[in-house]
Amino acid sequence: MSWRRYFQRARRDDDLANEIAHYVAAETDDNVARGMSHDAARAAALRKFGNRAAVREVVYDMNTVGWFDIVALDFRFGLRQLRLNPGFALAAILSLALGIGANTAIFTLVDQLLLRLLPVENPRELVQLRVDGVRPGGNWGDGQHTFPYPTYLALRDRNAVFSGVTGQRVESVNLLDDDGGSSIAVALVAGNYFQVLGVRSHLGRLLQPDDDRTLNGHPVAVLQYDFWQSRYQGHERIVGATIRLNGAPFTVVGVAAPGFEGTSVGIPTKAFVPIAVQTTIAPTIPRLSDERAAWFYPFARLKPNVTLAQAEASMKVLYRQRLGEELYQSYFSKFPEARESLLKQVFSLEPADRGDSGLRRRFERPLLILEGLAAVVLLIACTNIAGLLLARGAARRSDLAIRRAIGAGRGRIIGQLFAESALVAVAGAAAGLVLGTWLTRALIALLPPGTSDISLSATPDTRVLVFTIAVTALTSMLFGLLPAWQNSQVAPVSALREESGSAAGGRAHMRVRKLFVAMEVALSAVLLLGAGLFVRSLANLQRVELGMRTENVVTFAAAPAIPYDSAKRLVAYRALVEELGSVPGVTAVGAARNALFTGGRQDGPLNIAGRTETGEAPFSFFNAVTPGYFAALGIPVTAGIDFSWRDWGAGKQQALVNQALTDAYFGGTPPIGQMVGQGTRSPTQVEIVGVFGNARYDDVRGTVPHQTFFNLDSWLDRIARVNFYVRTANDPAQIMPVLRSTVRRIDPNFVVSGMRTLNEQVDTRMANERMLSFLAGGFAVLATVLAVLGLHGVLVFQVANRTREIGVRMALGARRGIVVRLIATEMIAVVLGGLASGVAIAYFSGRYVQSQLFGVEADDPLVFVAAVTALLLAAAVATARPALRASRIDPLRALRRV
Amino acid sequence: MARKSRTDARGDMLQGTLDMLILRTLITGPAHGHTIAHVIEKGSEAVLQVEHGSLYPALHRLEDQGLIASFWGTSENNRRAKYYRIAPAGRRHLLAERNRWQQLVAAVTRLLEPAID
Repeated sequence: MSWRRYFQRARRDDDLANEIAHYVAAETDDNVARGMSHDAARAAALRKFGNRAAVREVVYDMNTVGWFDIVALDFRFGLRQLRLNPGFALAAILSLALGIGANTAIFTLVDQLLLRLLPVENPRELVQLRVDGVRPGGNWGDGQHTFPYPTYLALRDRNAVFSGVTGQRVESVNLLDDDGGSSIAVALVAGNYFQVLGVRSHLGRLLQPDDDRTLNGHPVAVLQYDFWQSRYQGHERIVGATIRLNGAPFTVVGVAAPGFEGTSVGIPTKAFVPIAVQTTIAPTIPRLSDERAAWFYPFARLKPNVTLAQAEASMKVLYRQRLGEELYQSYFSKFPEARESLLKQVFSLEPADRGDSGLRRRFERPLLILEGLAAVVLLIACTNIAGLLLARGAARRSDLAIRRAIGAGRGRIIGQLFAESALVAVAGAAAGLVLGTWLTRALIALLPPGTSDISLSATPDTRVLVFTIAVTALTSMLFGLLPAWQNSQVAPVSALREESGSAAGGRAHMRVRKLFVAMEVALSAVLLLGAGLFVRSLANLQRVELGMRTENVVTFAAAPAIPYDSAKRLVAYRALVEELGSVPGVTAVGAARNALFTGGRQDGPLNIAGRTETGEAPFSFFNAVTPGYFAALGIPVTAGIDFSWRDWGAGKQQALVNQALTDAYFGGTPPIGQMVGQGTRSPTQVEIVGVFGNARYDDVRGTVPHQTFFNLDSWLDRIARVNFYVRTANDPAQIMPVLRSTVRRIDPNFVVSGMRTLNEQVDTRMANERMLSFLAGGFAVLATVLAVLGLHGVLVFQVANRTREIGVRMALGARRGIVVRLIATEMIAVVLGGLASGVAIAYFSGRYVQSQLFGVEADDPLVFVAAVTALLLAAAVATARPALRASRIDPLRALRRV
Repeated sequence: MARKSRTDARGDMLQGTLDMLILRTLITGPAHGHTIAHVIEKGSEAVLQVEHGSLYPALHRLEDQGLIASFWGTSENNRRAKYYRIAPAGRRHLLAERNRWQQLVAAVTRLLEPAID
């Protein structure tokens, strides 16, 4: 056997034909020379040579690689078979693609957000420090993993269980370099950050403990590898160069090793700077020395041989000790009632092998639910393929029997079926890969757009891809070959003789297929119910009264890239708001310190002058806004007056409160002229001048919070960036570039970031619901389509099998209605059985999704009724065609058929 | 399989003999299929009939084994013909086969002679 010969066999055969022709010609010549006539000479020559075709065949065979020829033939045959049954091919490939695609897509995200370990030395040794409970003095961050910097130092220096304790905080920072300005994520890190993590440098040096010795004394930065590649083209001369962060010059000292994106997973950090420069990078956060302001995220590396539990026990003692010391801080002599809440804090350690991720905390549950749903889809896909292939195998029984009867070996028959299954598997896998990539991209797009620099890859995870392809391929192989194996047991004669559908084997086969269909119906019911719940949640969320008009509003953040003092800000903000208001197509403009619908907020106790009522202390959400803010958002000022530019910079301290606060603390009477202050016992120097309608603040969910909005000019020293709200007359998308250029024209130092419409911003608060309802809905529809296809397939097969029986019945006088009922009743048990188990599964797994629902219970009757109705309708559609076809059987033809 | 046994059964010559005779024919110079068949038949005074069903596959096999080589040339009658030429390996093979053959003939002869007496 030689491949060279194999691929030359056609040419060699031509050669041989020529050779033979030459022989005949030469022999003819000889014969003519012996005196024969030309014709007789040629005839004699041909006779002498013998069978020319046989000689060529012998040589051709010598040049053939037998098994390869057979395999190629089988594949060509399989392709023909699939082309003959496009419905089968499509259904099988679609099932496979769906199962593979859905699972890889979801798992790609699950892996990146939930499973992937940090690219650092021994990530499993890393732990995150956590404290649950109130943080007296204030919290800037997630409120679970935030610590005051002095507390971090105490824990770092006095513990006995860690080989290193470090920490960080990611801030959004304005970067100014030769390429212009942009907003990037920068990590303020402790000097020992890279040492504790065990990350190496790619270029230059990393930060060292020495870099946070002197406050503001080390303006150095380490760049993230990908950022260095994309922004500075991987230029080595970046080391030693100066970049400006929030206006201050920083010297780049090095580039971190590729792959390391900081410890906040999903929000890739572009640059790392020492914590000592905190006032430059995060000017709005209290100073490092503030002993009560919790904003630093510490994490630690366990000493070898110390378990998490041991470390936690030891650290709990140390933390308790530290709290005892903190009670002597001046803060607690000022606010003695805060002592109790401090002592109620609970310290714990969490594994941090996968880094810290708000994204993970937020999307863990929905992703796990989706992973579960995807697994169900895979199950349906496999069931569907199994059913389809079984049906095909059964339909081919006599075909296979004939082949065996005329001499096909068992191996050849199995080979043929195998080739066909393999073709389906390969096509399905390819389609699944495409679908998977597409789905992952769609999924990432469904994540909140606010986190625009989330670094998630849409490349399907190879392991999952291999796994799902293996599972589905195995299914298709198994059920593709099963009929071949079964049939090869039966003697061809009996298989040929047997009336189709009448054999016991046929009945067992039908039982299996009905079971499959029932399973598909059950799983589809689960998916439909889940989708129904998520869709209702989303609809409920979208119906929530926001208290403002969100359509045609553009929002963006703007901040000066170089330090601006309060006087300069006073001028700049007014100029920006007023100039933006004069852009054609803009109807109203306002700005606020805190952005709406980001989940972020500022809240705390409200001190109301002269309030004597005991009980719950007044509590409010706070914000500071410019004149025009309420008009831009369409929030009505129902009593008193709005802020005005006349008072801008006049040094007044004023506030508007919302209706909810008015109702709660002033009995519904507009508290115009009342004096308030932010914080318990704070001086009440702010005059309430008006009341505004109940509008939402940080989120769409929950009750409308009490709100107190101050005039922005009284807050200028506490502001780094402001958020603009621009109402437009028409489509906001067209006006966005104009707004950008207007800001640049008025003050080129301002950096604009996060420009989007307010509706998009509101949608980010529904990201989970959107993701769940979109995907669960899609999965459910496709699963139902697959179940209907399966049901339909079984019915068509049944009708074909019972053609003779139906013919006899009709010949004996059965009416068409009876025939339809005969076919339909057969499926009713299957569908009802499937439905019942599906509903039961959904009912009992409802509690796993309850936390992701809004305004709807997991056992919502409406959803259950809708899902069951939808499935019954789908089943009816699937049954109608085959049943009607059965009723149109011509008895004469049915009986004549053998 | 069926095809192979058919051609083998038709071969009038002992297995391996044809290969040897082809190689012997080519010792005197390149020749095409027709000449080879002719030479063998003539040389054996028509005792050996060359079966073409065996000759061409044999030529093909010998070529693949590297014992002979082929080239296209023009025959004495100005026709395009495929010529075969013996390769060095073919000469060695022929020598070995001839020795084996002579031993075989001698052995068989020794066995047969007493019976004739």
